[in-house]
Amino acid sequence: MRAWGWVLAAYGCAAVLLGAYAWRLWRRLERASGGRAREGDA
Amino acid sequence: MRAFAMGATAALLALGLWLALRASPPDAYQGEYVRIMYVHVPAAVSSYAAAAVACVSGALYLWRRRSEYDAWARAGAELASLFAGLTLLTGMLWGKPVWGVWWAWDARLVSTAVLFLLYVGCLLVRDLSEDPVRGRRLAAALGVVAFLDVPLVHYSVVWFRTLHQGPSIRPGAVQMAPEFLAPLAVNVLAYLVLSGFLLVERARLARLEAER
Repeated sequence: MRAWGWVLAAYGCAAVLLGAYAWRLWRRLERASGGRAREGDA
Repeated sequence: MRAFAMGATAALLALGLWLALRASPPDAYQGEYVRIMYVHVPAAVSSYAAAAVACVSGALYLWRRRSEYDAWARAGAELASLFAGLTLLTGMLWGKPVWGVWWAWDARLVSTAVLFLLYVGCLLVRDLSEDPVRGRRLAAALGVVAFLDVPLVHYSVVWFRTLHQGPSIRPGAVQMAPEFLAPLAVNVLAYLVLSGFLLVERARLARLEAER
């Protein structure tokens, strides 16, 4: 049980770090493209 | 196209997570702690890939001075620092219960910390420079030089006596049971696809911001 705490801490770190980066990137893309972050969708 | 890339990345990450936390058996010696490998190793491989992008794009920018290359160099440096930081964090969370220490002045750990600091330095040099053109050139040059640390990180466990374990996968010699190798391969692929997606989007942001 104790081992799972360390495992989940590692995955939690990855989720927070990568999630925060992706979220911030998405928000900046939206701002930079004037609310058209999905403009490249085709 | 972007929606498809996002969906494919999310599906691969979800598959990797399921393989890592449910399908993979515990290790005979490390028990459940081995599951940290499926986030630690992919993060390290992704940092190498992002560093390679920063190196090639930085060299092309110094040669051709095209803003397109600068956008890729910036994206590469940012993601190299992000994934190197994640490698260090997950390594410490693996090291404490298994080795008994958060940190050791070991060749693999120190060279990875240097890699992280080099790419953070790359970003600082760019943003803190008074002359933006000079900042971009310095960052590109540092991105090229910083890549020299990647082979040092990778081969540090071969060249030096370290606390860190040696490579389990070498050309022609895989010392890992398939039960562990398959989840690791899927997670490495998932993280590489994620870093590729983030690289493309970060480079697009740099281009959009340069146009404004």
